Amino acid sequence: MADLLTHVLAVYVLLTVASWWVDVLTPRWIAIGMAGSAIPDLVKVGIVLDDDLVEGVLGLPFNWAPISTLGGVLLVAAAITLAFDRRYWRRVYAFLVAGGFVSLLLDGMRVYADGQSGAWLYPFTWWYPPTPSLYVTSDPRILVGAIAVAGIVFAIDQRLDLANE
Amino acid sequence: MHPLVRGLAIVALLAALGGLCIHYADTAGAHHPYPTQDDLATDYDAYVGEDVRLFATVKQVDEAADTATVRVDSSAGSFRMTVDAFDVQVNPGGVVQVYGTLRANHEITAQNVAVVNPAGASKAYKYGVSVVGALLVLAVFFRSWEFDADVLAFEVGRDG
Repeated sequence: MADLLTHVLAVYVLLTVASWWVDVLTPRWIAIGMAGSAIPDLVKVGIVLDDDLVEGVLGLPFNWAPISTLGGVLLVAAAITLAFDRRYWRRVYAFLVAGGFVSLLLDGMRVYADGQSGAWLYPFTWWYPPTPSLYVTSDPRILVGAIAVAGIVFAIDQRLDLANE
Repeated sequence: MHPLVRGLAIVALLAALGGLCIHYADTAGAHHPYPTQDDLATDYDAYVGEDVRLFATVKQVDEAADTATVRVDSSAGSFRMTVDAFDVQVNPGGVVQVYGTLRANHEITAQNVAVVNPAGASKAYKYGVSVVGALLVLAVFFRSWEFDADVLAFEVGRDG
């Protein structure tokens, strides 16, 4: 579990920088992408509703982990998309999935002791992709870096907006 | 689309997600590249000599001997292990990943130890930061979008 703020800022930076060249990337769609980046973190529902607790109620084996996989992102994004007016569906879904995928990709680049990440492409494959072991979530430098880059991008974006008015 | 139909479709999608959660719990162990922590809790001796990757909470570190005592949790209960070749700086309460070879008497010879949380407080740090992230998402979202109660759906807001 990486921290949600880093995920959200990473997607903000990617989409905002892309918006300087791609006109359809307006703030409302960047907001949807940022929301999508939070989807894998919904796996933290397990802190409140423990796997074992759900198992006891259902009488079946249960694990929240799929929320933080590609299959979970596709399903949760579809459910969220349906809460929007129909004419936005296609684009809302695309941005939610894109944001969620970036989060999964970032999580897959964390340090793992054996050099293999988790099965985050489930249920499409049980493959454990190799990880470049770039960072540890609890390292505050990751967040400080993300905030600094996001701040710079925000400042440039404001200037470009003013220049365009 | 009628809001009721949309509501039912949302319920169906969440039910499908629940199905994944059940399927995963039922089958993940068989696809795991190593014995799982549940496997070790129930039949440790059957896996001695095999490679494993464990998530463990550090109880005590003996820096002079390069060993640590850790607690490994599983749904079948937790157990203690001694990690040899423990070469990282972690405080008791911190969380590590250990990749290594399983030895008899709940010992593991580490090939690599990765620090997940250097101290018990790291978990609180991650959750705290995540709450800030969640608030940021909500703030940014509701700047562009608003809930239209007439059609029971999100619409572009006045500033969006």
